[in-house]
Amino acid sequence: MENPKEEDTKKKVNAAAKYSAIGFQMIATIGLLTFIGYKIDEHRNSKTNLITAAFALAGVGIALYQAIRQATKS
Amino acid sequence: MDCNQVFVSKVKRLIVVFTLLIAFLSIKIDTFAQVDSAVVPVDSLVAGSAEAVSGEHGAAKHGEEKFEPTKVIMEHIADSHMWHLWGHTSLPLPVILYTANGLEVFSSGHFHHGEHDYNGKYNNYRLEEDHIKVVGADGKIDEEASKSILDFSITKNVAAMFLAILIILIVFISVANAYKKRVGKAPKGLQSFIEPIIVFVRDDIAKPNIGHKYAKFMPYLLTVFFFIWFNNLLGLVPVFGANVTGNIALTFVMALGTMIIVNINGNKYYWKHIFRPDVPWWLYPIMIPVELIGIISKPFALMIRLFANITAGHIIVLSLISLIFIFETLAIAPVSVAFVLFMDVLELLVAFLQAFIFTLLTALFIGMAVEEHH
Repeated sequence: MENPKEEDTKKKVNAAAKYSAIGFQMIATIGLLTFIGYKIDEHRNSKTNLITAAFALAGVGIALYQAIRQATKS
Repeated sequence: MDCNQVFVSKVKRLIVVFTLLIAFLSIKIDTFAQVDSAVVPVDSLVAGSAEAVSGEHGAAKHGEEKFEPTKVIMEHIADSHMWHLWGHTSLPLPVILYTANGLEVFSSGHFHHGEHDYNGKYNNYRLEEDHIKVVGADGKIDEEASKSILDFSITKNVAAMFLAILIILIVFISVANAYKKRVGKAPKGLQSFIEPIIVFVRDDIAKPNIGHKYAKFMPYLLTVFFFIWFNNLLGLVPVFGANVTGNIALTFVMALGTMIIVNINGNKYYWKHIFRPDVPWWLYPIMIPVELIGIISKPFALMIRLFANITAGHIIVLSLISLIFIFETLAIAPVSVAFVLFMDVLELLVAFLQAFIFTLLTALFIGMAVEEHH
């Protein structure tokens, strides 16, 4: 049988791996939304890239929401 | 197993990267100032056959060639139609092109490192920055025609991947046979080296994260783990290493595999969570897109992480070696080699760690999808 201390370290490692993914996930979310906004702006030939900005901002919000929910869950 | 040390070492790695960046920025001006810097590091190693090929070019050009670290490093990181070994020696690889008229197969050796055009069955081809382009009748590259051909070549990365697959097959078939022959006996030889790792994946990765349904996912988890690990390790072999796991296309396919498996095995709780989350109904227009983005962003994180970590490792090692040629002195070599050695040892750890993390996160996502209650 494994001792409780070792079990504890294992949990810590798993948690560290899990939380280290959140950063990349935030990048992915923000990047994806910014890209969608950019494509829309490109399609509309708009002078100011308002939709890119709006989507990027929404991406930041969603990314934050996802990060907080993942951190508070379990 | 205590991996905390490794996470701490990431900080050290960042420090190394930034130091190098600063070093490069301050050196750049000097390198550009030196017009006739001669860097011919491995001319003595030139193989006879290769010299015959590039004879007339080699002698004339190399005197005034300038060393550009970025170009050299990017060439090593990127995929290639030739397997460069050292100096002017490289292994030619098969080129397979799908053209409008039919399939075209020839050896990349015909390009002579991009110095010659190849007259194929249907078109003339030229190798430009490691992309195969069609040459028009006027001797210039025909961009339109180049777009219409599809390149299915066995490139360096593909060849290295085949090699890794071959090694994995040899190792695991022999281990599987050992289990068949030695039922009930203690593991022996290669088997006793692989068994703890398999047990590690099962007990430390699959069981705690997936729960009692873990057995169904073991084949995928083990395949992913060993495939990434072997490819990472092969990428570290000097002279021969290819940057397979540092190729975004490969990590994309692996992340796609994870995404498909997670979503196919998602139970009703998983889907309810996405399409009917526990929020007031008027929030659905916001929540459902957010959850749908979550499906994509999780495997995306896997893709970026593996790609970034392995590529960063290769760039650091190559940058450190490049320092010798930037300073143009042997005096820097001991420092450079010492750092490279240090980084290589660290990379050994990272090779394992990235395989471990990819598998762990895959298991975690599967675990979230097959979770029974809430």
